Amino acid sequence: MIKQTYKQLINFLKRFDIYQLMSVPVLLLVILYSTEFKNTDIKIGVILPLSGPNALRAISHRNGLELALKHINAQGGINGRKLSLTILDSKGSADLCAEQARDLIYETGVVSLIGGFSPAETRAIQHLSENAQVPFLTALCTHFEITENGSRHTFRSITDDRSQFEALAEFSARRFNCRKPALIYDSNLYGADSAQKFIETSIKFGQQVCTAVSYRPGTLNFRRQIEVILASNPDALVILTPPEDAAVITRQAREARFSHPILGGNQLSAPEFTNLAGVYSEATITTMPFNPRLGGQRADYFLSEYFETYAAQADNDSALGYEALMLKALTLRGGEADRQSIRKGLAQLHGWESVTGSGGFDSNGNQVKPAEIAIIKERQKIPVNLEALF
Amino acid sequence: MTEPTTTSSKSSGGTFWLTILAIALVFYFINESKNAGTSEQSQSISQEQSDTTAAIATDIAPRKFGDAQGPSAALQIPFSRPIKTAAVNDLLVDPSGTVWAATEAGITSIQNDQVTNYSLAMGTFPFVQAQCLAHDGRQLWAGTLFGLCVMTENKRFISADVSSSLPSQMIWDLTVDGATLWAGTQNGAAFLDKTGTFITIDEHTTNSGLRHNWCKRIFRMDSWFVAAHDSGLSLWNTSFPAANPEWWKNIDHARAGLIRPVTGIAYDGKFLWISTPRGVMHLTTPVNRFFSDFVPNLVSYSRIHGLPADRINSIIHHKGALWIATNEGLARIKNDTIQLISPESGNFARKIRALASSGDLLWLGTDEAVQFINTAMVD
Repeated sequence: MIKQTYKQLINFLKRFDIYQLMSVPVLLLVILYSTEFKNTDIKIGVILPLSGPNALRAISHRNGLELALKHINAQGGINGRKLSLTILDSKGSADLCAEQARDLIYETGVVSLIGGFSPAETRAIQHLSENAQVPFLTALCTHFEITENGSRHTFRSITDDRSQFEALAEFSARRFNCRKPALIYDSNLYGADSAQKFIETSIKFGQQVCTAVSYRPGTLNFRRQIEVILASNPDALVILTPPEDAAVITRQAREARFSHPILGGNQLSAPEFTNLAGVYSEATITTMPFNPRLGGQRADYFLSEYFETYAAQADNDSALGYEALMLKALTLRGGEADRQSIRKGLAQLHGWESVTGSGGFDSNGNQVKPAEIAIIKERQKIPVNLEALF
Repeated sequence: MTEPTTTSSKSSGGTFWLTILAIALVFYFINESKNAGTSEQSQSISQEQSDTTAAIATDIAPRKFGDAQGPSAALQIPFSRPIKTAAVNDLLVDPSGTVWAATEAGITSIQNDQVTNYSLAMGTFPFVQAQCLAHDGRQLWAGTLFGLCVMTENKRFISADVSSSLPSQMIWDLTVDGATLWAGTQNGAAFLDKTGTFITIDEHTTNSGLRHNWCKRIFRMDSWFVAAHDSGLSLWNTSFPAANPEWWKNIDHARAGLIRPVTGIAYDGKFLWISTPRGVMHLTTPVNRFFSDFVPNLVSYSRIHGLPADRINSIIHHKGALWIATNEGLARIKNDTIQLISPESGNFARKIRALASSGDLLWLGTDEAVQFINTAMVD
């Protein structure tokens, strides 16, 4: 049988001359050369400080991204193609961020970038992404400047500092009749420009910041700063620092018998703040990027899936990570999986519903959703509009 | 019996061969079209040059800074036909008149009628992209985000040996002062000394005279070296040692209201002009009085003053005027007057990323092409 087949093959081949036979491997070579034998996954690059002082928040964000990835790919991916994440640890270094963004853009060939934490890290990624025209979405960096510098490829899905400051100033003025807040900020994560922005914002609500003090990262004893603050006799204290520092400042301020309201941005809604500040966190006013009640069934599903996957409660950063990748998926489903189409798709996302509720990008790529205010009661964040129920 | 079979076989074999050839050609052309962005092209630009010179500008009055309430009407002049490239990061006209463009796909040169691309795919450029260019009178240098390259005599770019002495291989800007090459990198600035080694200027070696190492833009004027970085601007009087911070002046972005990132620096012979994402900023202290009374005062000009957009991508001083590349087109500042320039007809990518001048011609590098205008027509 085999012999017969072999003879038939030989007879068939004898019908062609040597040039005809040689053209077959040539054709195969041309086809091989022309076809891109690449992984067809849609690659998205993620740069986060997974080690270093902000690791806990970054890991939580990464968990959210990975959970979203699992859900997207379990449903067949994007238009039949799997989504893949290349996640890099920037170790909190802006220089490393720049190198990683360069490698992801030019070597890995990602179609989009997600990440950034501190303003310096985020600016480094942004500079590279604007240069190479790669869409970049940050869901952690709240610094107002990121979406105010005429960038075309940068988007932010978390409510920025400006909106958070407005909400804090408005709430403290209305609820506590605060007129003379004091300000303490770290020179790295927020910096003098954010402090200046808060001072400008608070004026709109009839407030006059009586003192603004800064400190260098790594400070553990804030007695000197608190003495300066108390000497100016403020009627509220606004803390613009990472959650760990905010917890120490809150403790030391309360121990120094500062009895007026303490307020802060989304950093104070991180679990690290309540864990470290303990009972001193009671009655602290913060902004709340993730209110499960606004996300409805999506948020319920996310919370249960997150707990099942990681055996931990989801927090703001994980929800924002989940939302960030879902937004990318939403954009990818509507168009081609190339950089320009994704940028265009994100720019047209003026409204969406996700685990954190309704949102949308303005013409600068910035989140339009106003900041929500919460009060910490028994280590739980309670939205102020529901405070009466608790 | 055999002859008809042979004939039939030859006939079908010929068809088979032709089909294979046709398929091979189709695949070849598909592949070629993929590489169209990086393959060598030849386009005639002499026609556009003559068109530009021959046409007449529409007369639209320019607008003074003070009386502007938004972008003014644009002066329409002919723009040359776009010479297709990848997104342009920098432009340079070398001493022989050849125009060089550093692009996201490598390097493109334009000389008379010839457009030549140098890319990684073609083996004529060692990296995937090029960021900046400089010519020291002898050699053409190309800075990339992966290292420094130099053009060899056989018209190929190779990775420069001196690149290893740079503080970082991520090169953001290059400039030349006489015959000295300066580089602004991710981790400090550097200049090439006579021994062929880069001397690093960073926060450490300047004792914090240079306030931040990420030098996105560098500039030389008179005896001053200017570095634009993530904390603002640092200016060093190069007549004195860089290690002494007394010879550095710093303009902090938060205190002076300097918008970052600085996208370009120009010097009009007296004052420093800075392009930013929120307009053009003018340092009101003359350069020759930096040490006598240096209180940085910046005056900003943006869309409300008549510029076409707030986002400024590049600025150069050319023939007594400042030329400004924005996300929405080109503008000129001359005698306190802003004049918008737009093409009389034809295609034009509005986002201009780089500028270079040579004689009367102003070269524009956009998201997708290189074009030029005849600046004499604007006057």
